[in-house]
Amino acid sequence: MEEPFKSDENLKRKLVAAAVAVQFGLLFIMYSATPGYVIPLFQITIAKTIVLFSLLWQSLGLALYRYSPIYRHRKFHFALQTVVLIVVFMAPFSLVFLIGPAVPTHPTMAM
Amino acid sequence: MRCSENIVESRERLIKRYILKCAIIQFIFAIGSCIAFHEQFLNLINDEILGPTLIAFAIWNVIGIAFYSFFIPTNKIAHDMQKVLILILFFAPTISLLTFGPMLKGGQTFYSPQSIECFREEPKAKETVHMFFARHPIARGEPLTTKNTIVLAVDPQKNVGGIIATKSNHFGDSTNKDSMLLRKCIYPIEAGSPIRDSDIEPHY
Repeated sequence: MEEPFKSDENLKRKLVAAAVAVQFGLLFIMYSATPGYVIPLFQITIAKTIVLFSLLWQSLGLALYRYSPIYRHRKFHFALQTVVLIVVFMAPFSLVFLIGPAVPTHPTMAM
Repeated sequence: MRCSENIVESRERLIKRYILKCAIIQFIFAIGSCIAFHEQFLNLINDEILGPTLIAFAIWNVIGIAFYSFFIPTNKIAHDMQKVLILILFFAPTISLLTFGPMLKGGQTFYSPQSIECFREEPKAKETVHMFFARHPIARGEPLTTKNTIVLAVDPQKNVGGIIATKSNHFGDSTNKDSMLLRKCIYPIEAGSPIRDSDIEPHY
């Protein structure tokens, strides 16, 4: 029988892998379905900068999530850490490619 | 047996702490590079090769952190070797490009970063119009593209002869006969200068 600490660790590892796989899978599907929607993200300077920093922010969050130990109130701490990872660290990059290209960046679009 | 398990666990904790440190250092490097070498950083981001490479490295870094445990078995490789492998595989590409990239791109002139803010702003005064400007120096015979040209909100009195951006000539639709895209420059244009009708071919 596995110790609680070990099982949490394994679950965290699986969650991180699954979340990143889903995120990049979604990005790949979006790129395959509507390349015109995703490509501007990698052409406009501001968009590229935001993509870069959101990725680095996400990698920081993933490292922090894998490192953060759980001592007491196992379920609560586990859920809290997971929610913080998803909402604070993973959401920015997801939002960038989900709704980022829809934000008007060209002044003539408003004409 | 129990002792060896504890050693493996403590090593895992050390590796996780090490990865966290690397991730923090990497983020600080990126912020520092962006603040200290702002213009060079924008040049790096805008570069045709280095820009996509940097983003690819960042993606590789995220995937690496998520899957490092599958790539690098904790109990089969020596502890120090794991650290070196993690650093070389996942962090070194991004950190080195963030550190040395701005230096590589230091020589190229990039039009004022403030223009990017203007690019997103709507005209505030009635007399303001949108005109085409050269983002980089454009050589004779070179076509206009979304990379070397930019649209800015300006006062038309100060930019007489500049081409006003309209629905029909704005970027994004190079097949339109009025589009500014792919029009060749007859004369070289300096970075930041307005693009005039006399500078391009075919004329309006």
